[in-house]
Amino acid sequence: MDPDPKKSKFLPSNLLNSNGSSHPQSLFPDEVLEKVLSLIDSHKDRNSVSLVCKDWYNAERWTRSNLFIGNCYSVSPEIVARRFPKIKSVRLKGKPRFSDFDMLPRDWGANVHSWLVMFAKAYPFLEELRLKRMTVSDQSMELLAKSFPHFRALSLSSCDGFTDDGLKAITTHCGNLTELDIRDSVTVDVGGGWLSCFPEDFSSLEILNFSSLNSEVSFEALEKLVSRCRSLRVLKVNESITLDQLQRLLVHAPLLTELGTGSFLQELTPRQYEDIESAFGNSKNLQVLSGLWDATSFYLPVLYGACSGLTFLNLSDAVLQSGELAKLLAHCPNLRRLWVIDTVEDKGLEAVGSSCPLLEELRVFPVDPYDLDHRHGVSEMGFLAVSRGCRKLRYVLYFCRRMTNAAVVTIVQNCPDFTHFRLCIMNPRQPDYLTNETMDEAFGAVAKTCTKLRRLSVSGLLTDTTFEYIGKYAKNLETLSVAFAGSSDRGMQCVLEGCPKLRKLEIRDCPFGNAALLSGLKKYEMMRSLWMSSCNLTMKGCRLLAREMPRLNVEVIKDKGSDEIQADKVYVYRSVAGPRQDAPPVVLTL
Amino acid sequence: MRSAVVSGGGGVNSSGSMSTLSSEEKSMVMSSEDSSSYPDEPELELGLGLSLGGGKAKPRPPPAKATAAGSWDQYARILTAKDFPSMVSTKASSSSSSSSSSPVAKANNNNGSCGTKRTAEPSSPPGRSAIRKFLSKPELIGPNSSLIGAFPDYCLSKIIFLLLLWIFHFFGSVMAFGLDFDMLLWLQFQELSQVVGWPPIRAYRMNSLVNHAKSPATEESATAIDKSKGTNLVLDKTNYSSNRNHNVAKERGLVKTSLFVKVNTDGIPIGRKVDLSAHSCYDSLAHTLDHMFKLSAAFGATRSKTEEEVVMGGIRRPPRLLDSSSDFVLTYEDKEGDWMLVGDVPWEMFLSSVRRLRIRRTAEVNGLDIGRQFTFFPLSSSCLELPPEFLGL
Repeated sequence: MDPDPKKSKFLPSNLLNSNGSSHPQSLFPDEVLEKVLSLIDSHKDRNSVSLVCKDWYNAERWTRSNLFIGNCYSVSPEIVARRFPKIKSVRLKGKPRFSDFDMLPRDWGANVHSWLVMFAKAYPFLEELRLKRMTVSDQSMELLAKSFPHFRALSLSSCDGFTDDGLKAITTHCGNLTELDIRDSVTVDVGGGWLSCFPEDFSSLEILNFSSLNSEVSFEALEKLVSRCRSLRVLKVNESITLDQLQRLLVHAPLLTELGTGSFLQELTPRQYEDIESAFGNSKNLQVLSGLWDATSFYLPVLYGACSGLTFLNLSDAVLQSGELAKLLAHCPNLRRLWVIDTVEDKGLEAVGSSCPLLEELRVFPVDPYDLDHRHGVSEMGFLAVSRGCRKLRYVLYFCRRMTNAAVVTIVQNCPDFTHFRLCIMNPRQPDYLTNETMDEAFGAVAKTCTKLRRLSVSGLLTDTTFEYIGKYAKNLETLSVAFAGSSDRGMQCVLEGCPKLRKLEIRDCPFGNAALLSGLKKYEMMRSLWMSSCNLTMKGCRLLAREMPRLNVEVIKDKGSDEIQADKVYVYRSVAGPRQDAPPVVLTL
Repeated sequence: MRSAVVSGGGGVNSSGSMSTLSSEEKSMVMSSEDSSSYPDEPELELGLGLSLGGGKAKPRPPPAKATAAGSWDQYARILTAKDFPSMVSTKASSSSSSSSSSPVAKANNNNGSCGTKRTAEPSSPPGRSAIRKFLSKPELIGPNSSLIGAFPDYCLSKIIFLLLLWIFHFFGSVMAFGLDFDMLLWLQFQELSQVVGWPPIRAYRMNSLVNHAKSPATEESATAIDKSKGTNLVLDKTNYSSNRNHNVAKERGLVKTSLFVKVNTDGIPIGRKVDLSAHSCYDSLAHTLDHMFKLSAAFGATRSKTEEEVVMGGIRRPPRLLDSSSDFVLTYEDKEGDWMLVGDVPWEMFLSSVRRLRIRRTAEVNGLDIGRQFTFFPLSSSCLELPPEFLGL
């Protein structure tokens, strides 16, 4: 739709009666409509609003201030700038999720620079930028720092491409910065000098997260910064910060609601131990706790004073045993989210079940994904124990080495409210270890019982039956991740025909071929993206798809040494911007 | 099993040496031979093969069977009895470069910056001429061959041996796919670290977790395959998903990335981290730690110079951490939580079991229940560049 350069009062035709004169009742003035629409935040609702009629479309575009783009290649910066003139906050996502697991070439794309160039021209009042899985160069960071005088918040999740210099530009020039969050985006090259570059009078910071930074930062600079920024509520430091340093930071920031500690292993004098214990005791507002590298049973008790208000405990960097976890959880009755490592084993998960009745989210990560020794880690018993004690569970990510159908059936009966069910049995194609059957019934039960299910990841030995169940029952499913599963094209067809709300489909190492790919022709334009790698696709099938559906971008990455026919990695996504121009040579756009 | 080597045999010509059988070479071998001059043949399913990144998870035969056989293919390249008649009859084959490698030609990475692609398309017949070539190579059959232990010296018994293996695995996998996946799964495990992007765990998480627990894969595995790849299995586990180094070459087995462990010293509250994968032997590690913690200055010479010279074959070395001549002793905590003296076990085994390091003052070491005083440890000659006869004194 072409944007109107000016707003005008409209006369909706449905208010005209048969002889053409307007209805005496009040028209709906622009200003009122815009006032109402400006209260709507959800981008999904806004998208619906914009479809009502041309005038509502215009009113909506003039009032939208938060921009969310789930796939940076689905639209071009120019189109965005034309449609939305008043954007203050941008959220952009780039690469497909499997780039997190090294399945994409490093220079695949999703560079934010062209977006920033457009933003600098079109949105000089931009305040917030949140990126996920995009490449951000130092040059881009400098552009960002210098082009937006009101810039306040930068959040980079799973991004790459920048170094210390880029961050220095941000900290030096963004005088109004309230949020700097680089969480898991750091590569080994990034130094810590940027932290010392905040101006002397800088005090507006509210959120600071550099938990994955590998290098040391100047503690002196950090301490000064924390003491100056009285509104600091989120502080997540990296492993280089020691316990006694942490204590000093806590003293300066008693109002913290989210804390990420540094290394939790240090030889402390008794005095120091007391100090840190009381510092935690004074942090009454803590809701989120993370970090805790190398925490052991000797040092964990310093935390107990701060745990009563905790709602999210992230122990995914702390290798704990079951007893240590149990003791810690006894102090955390209000926990809603818990991330742990599987060294706590089933016994630790039993403690979770008994101590945390309000738990809604559980993630269990494997300490050693390649451990040949089956004895370690968690099993179906732990998951069962959690489901018995935590009936409100709705999000689970569970890495295990064995599972049974019966356990999963019981689990979803105990907790039917699952919205995200991600079960990863780490050995590909592993059957039910008690009955040696396939795991079809397990995921069938998940699909049937959990009517609110939005995200599902399947694993284990699965045939097409699983996908029949999913297609038939999982009516709210939006994201499906499949690996080493299925027996024929029919599996994928069932899902594509069955799940009306499907948006993202990721498949790897499954026996789905061209027929399956082409069965979803009509569907892909309603989805954000499709990823298929190491399946039975050929170039011919991909070319056919590209030809039939011109508004889809079909990109193929071939592995070195593969023959002419195989399409090893296929990424399909809808786009109004046409094929992208910045693909590296290894990515073929069909 | 050494027979597995056969599948790589044809390709070995180019790399020139079969003896080391490290994964680096295997992957190099596999990647360098990419002649697809053979037409497509039905997927070969059984037998032993080196896990050279075999077939994809594609069940060409009926799906149920393929889930088992397919998984085999993924990890074990296969020879079939089809090849054998041609061997026995010694028919001249059409000349071609090694075909055994073409099924696994995809086992190398794509464009160097992706993760290694381990799913190979078994679209050409493996092994037929490869076996022939392999068997005919004098240097591979002769007394200097490293394979001598696995194969008899003459063609016929080799063939019978392979045939028996084929039969064994045929029936083994037939039984396996229906009911008992343990054997397949066990073999799958060994290769789990070779599959790109699986399990789906972020690289930064892998790296930090790997510092805390290392599975003794090299000790637990019983096969020759694994032994030969032991080092690289350990390295692969830690290396495979790391994306910390931009310049990491993701060739299988050639991946070299950080294996950081913490090092604490008595008397210094703040520890450091050292990258173990940057070292290939104890000596360089000790040297680095000396440097890092400036321990040389604190060394007292408790050994006479002449003693040292005798021990080291005339080469004078400054006192080092790993000698009893220094005031400090280097210890490490292993996977089970026990503190051990560094230097007792082979380097690779050390790498797989170390969790963190600690440099203790000699006086305190007596408190540890180590109870041994070692004066020497086996050094790899490549590390010190000493001729082998100086070792093991």
